[in-house]
Amino acid sequence: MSINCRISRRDMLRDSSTGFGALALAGLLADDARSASGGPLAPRQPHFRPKASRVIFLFMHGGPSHVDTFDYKPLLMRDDGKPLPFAKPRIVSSPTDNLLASPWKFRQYGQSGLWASDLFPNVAKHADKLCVINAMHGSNSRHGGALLELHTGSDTFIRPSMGSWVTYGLGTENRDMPGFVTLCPSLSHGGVNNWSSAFLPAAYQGTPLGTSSTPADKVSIPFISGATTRTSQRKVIDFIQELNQEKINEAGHDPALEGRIESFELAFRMQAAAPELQDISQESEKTLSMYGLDRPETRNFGRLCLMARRFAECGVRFIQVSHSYKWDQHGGLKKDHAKNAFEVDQPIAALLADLDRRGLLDDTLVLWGGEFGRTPAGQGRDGRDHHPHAFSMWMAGAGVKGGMVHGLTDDYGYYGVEDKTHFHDLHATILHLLGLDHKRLTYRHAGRDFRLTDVHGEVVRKILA
Amino acid sequence: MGCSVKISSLSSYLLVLSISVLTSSLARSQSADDTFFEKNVRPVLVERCQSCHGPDKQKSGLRVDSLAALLKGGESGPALIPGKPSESLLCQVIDQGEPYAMPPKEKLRKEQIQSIAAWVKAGARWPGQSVKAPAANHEVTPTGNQQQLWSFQPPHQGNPPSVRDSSWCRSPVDRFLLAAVEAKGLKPAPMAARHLLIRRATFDLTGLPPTPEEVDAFLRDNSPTAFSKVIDRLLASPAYGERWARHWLDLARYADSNGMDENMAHANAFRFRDYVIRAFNTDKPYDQFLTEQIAGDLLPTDDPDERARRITATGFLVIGPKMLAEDDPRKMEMDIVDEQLDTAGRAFLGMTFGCARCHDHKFDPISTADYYSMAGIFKSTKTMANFRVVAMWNERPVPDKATLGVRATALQDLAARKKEIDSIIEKAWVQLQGDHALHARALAAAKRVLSAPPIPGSNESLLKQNIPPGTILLEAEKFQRGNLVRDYTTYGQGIGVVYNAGKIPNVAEYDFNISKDGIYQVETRHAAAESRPVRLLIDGALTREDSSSSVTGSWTPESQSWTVAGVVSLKAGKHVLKIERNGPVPHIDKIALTLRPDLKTLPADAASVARESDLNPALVNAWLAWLKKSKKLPTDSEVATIISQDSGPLSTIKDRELVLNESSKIAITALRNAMAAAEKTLPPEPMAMAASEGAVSNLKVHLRGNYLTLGADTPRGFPKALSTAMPAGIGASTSGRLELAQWMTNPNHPLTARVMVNRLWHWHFGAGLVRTPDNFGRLGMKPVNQPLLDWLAVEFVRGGWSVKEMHRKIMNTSAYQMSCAHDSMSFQSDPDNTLFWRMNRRRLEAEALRDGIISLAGDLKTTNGGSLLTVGNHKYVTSTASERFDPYHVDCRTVYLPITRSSVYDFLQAFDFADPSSSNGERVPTTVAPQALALLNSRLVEEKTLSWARKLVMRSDLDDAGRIIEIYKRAYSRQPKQHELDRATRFVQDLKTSFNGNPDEISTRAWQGFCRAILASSEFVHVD
Repeated sequence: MSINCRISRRDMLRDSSTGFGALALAGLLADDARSASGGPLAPRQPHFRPKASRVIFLFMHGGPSHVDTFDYKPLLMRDDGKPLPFAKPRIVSSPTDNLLASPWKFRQYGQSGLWASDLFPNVAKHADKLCVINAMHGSNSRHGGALLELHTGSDTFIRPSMGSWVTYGLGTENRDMPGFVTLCPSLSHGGVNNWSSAFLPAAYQGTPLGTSSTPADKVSIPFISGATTRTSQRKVIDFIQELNQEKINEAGHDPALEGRIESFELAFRMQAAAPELQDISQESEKTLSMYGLDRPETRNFGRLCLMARRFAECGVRFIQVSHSYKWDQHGGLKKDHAKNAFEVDQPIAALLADLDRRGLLDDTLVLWGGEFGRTPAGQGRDGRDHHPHAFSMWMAGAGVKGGMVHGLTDDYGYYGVEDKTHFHDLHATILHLLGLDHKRLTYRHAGRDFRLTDVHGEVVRKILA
Repeated sequence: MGCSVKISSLSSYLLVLSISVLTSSLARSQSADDTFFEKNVRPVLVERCQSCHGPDKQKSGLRVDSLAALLKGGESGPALIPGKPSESLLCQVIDQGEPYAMPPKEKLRKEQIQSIAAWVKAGARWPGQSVKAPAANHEVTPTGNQQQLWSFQPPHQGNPPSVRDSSWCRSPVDRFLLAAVEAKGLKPAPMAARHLLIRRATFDLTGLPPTPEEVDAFLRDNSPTAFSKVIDRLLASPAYGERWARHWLDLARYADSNGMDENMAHANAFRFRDYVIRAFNTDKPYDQFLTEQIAGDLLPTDDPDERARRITATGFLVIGPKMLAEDDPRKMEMDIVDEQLDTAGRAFLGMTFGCARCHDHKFDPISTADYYSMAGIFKSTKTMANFRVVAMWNERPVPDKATLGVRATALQDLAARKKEIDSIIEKAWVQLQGDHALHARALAAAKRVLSAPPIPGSNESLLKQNIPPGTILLEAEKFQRGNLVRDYTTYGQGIGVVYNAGKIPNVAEYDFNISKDGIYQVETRHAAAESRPVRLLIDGALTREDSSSSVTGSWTPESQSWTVAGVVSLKAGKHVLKIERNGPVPHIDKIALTLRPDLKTLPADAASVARESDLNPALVNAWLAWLKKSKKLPTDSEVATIISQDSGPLSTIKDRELVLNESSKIAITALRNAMAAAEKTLPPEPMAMAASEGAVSNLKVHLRGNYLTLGADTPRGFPKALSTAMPAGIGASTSGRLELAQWMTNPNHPLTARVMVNRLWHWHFGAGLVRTPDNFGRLGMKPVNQPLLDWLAVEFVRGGWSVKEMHRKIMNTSAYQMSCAHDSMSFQSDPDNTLFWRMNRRRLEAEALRDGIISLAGDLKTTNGGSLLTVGNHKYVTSTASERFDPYHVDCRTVYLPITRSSVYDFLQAFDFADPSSSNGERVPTTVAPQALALLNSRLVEEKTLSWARKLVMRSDLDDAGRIIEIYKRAYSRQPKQHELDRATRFVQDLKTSFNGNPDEISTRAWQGFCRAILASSEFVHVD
């Protein structure tokens, strides 16, 4: 089957929504969903008109170095081997030595003249689509804490992850697929807490496809396939539904019993839809090669990026793709950062091009980054320590300006000096792009209304298109 | 922003050159001061600060629109001290950004910061306002309004009200409940059918379905006490504790791994779980249960088993999730304290104390001072062994009587052998003292050492710069023969090292060629964080016993250093150098042999001379030391006299074992080996995650929750608004945990009993009388039927806090025995059933579902607790390789499966298992597609339906109808109706056409399909 989920009644409605009252639209969407999946995942009206309908988060686990990728620091190059002329942070993960110049050349790209290092030559070709956020900062210098802060806003308590908040806020667009998927996540450094719904209802938790040790062509939704054939399973389901319907007739009104009938139908459809979505055999040779599926180094991440596009196309709300725990170069920076970047550069560039070509970049927000950056000071002469005090992420697509750099770090990339962006600000901005006010997206738990941004966060308005 | 004052022109800032210039100019006249303030200070405050700290908003309680307000300050204390900019919080936060940076988004310009500092320094004159500061007051005393919070008033047991339909009532519970239902003009639902009632009670109390025999026995029993007999039978079953402990474990956020950032295994957490199961089964009074979990270690007892249980109970405080890799140990500690306080508050009192960590509780009468007075109790308690990265929690030995006995015998035996060793050493020592010939030889050897040139120091600097000509440099990893691990990558490009292999001895041999005869100095370069001496041999002759033994500081190349192994004379030609060790070796990088043409004779040291003369080096060393000290060169005839002196050479020997003769050494080694073997078989001391008393101290209020900004000291104690049950103060030498427990279990405490009886009601009815079981504060819901709640709470305390008694009181009622029948009139009036006009239909929890499925298949095994965790203590459950940990396919009850945070068993997760990272008094059941997928496709359902189907097909006593009846009775506790029987028969026949294979196989698969449908059906999955 060729997947063409984009043209659906819902999209037609949305695309022509100027002609409908917003409430009528919401009503129709809700109706549609109730008959399909109902319950907690029914699409919900955002707070205001969204720029983005979904998010693809390309997560570089381990902490890619900002001063070796997107935060160009000529003075760091000049002062290689000299001591840092100001104080290092009070709390560090490990001691570091003197400044270490980036081993990579930086060049300017596109109309905008955006700087990028030679680690990302292909992504850099999309310079004019990128909104690079330098001077990102968090507060935890260890992987686990930083991952939790990035994904949930808290490194102190278990909180719902941003994907859960987004699904809670907006529901899902696709009746046959989960609303929040995470491809090949790591089970370490917080593990499931990075995609869990914590105190939000379980329906909003991310659905993991594989883990970091699963090859991309082997990932699947939990319990998606069983030992029985589809025909015999259909017979079993029909029988279950007959029993369940009889139970409803006997019990009278009971939403839980009614919900069960729908859940079996949805499960049956999901079993067909998910493998079809993951089946890339109908993609052209050209597409496969664009994503790097014809090279051993890029094959795995390329396949994940291609799957991300297919999920996005079919209306999955939040898609995370992890390049798991590879970017932690305390040593071997030159070799391993180069290897890591090589594995993802072409696939990410292909994803941007492909989304753009299909018009999906207009309402898809792509986010790239790690849990922190790396120290401009070296650990030895070929490594860098964790650095949550300033680092780079980038966004592209729906609602953000392209060819832009937001935020400024000092001469060596150690601390942010202008337009610093905290994880809370990042979260507020992502929600804003999705039409959600981070201060109004709340959930009452244990005596108070919780938010993804706790009591913090400001929308980074300067990057909004 | 409505600001009336315009920012003065930029040029006026540019005139400001330095603070000193300003200060002197400011001193000149007040009018100049006022002008400066209006130009340079007020506009900045208005423009940049007042939107958050002004008339509209007062973030952190601070306003900056008057001098009085600045002097009073906010939560962090006074914002300024006139004349002292460096001590003024205002100046600190705008300049250094410590303790926090203001304004939060964009720093003020340098000249603005300087202007404000100059203004403060000059005395902070504010035109028209005086400098008198109002007294700062941070003490929050509960207002009358707050004290009226219903849950803070002690429960009052009223008389059961009168009702219209008194025949419906079997107990006071029913009267309270019916009165509320009748008051709404509603009627309670009819009584549940008897087969549903026993199914409900059995799942409710044991988490398992009733057997057909149990159902039949109940249906046959027409006595009025039939149901209460069922309740008593179920309460006496061990399955009861396995079910109800799980409720408590949700509250205790029980888990077998840490989760959070570093998912280390809690290999000893299971003891706490088993303790809870036992507590429920033995009906431990709830006040005692509570006290043991907070302070069990502080309760005196002479019974070792009881002591072990009480220590284990404090695991409640230790099993929480923690950030174990936090570079800031003080933050780590305070976060852990916070987690403990919040969990205890929520589980026992239904209070959210955590809210008061940074500010006074916004809704409940709990101040930050209250918070830190309780936090001090946990701060004074030891629940962590250390706060390193990765930190380790506290564990304590909990031997039971039997283990203690076995260990005592074994330890006695070990002590006897130790004594034997001591006597051998003593005997050999006496013999050594008398062996004058031996001492004469040692003396001669020591004299030789004295006269020989010393072993030279390291050539390190030489080797670093340029290798001297004639040097043989061996890369450690380039050995010709051996079993060491070669590592070229861990330490970076071009750095190769060797370290230990698995097999002992670790050995490496290097072939090398010498082109010139001569004296060579042998050196090795290594890194080691602990001493690992290796034997170094050249051509089979020992050069040094303890080469490369120094501790350099780490295992990494930064700390590599050279050490001299010895000096040898070598002829031109081929040689072999060998290193070996019976254990791991240091990380050796290089071995060098440098030619020493400057040395004419071979240097000697005690070790080399002793080896040549076949003497014990320690003995030679002893004589050497004596010679050096006494500055004498005695003859052999003087030896006997010298040895007998108190200050003789033997007096320098600290460790007598070093100079033992061979036969004694052999005897001791044999004894030691026997002891080691005996120690290995010694039953290990069982350890439990547990609390002990720590360094006792009060805490200061942490302003905004930050330990860098401290406020007033808060004596350890309890919230002032809950003073009804206040005990005497906490002693200076105790943490206060016992007092905390006594305060909570005081019969007059307004929360403890209420919160627990509400939980019991919630677990029986699927909803509480207070619908927010974890929150009895202002943001929680008020009780729908407070007289009933209070009656139960008082009964609970009066009944000695017996939980089993409360089960009886709640279940032996008409209220509990109502059906789930829908009634449209009642439904319209009270759709959420808050008044309990009917029983709530409930979906089986994940555990009951899994246990039920295994039990129907006839596979459920009983167990006595213990651990199924396959990972060692404090080891990663989910390694960074992200291998899924999967020990779940066993037929024991779910309560015994490991609960790994960050990676909960997916079947449990699908069915709304409570997040084990936080305390949960209720599980919110969802109905989502992944549950259907789990019932259709999971390995559990696949295996158990197959197992059940196989057993059914093999039952030759049953025909197809008999099989269907059997399945219905087990799964639904009832007989199928005729149409159900017919439909099922048709279904099984039809399903057979879907399979191939031999008839038995086809039959099994078809019956498996039928069993699967029954297990997935709402009638099985729900309890009516």
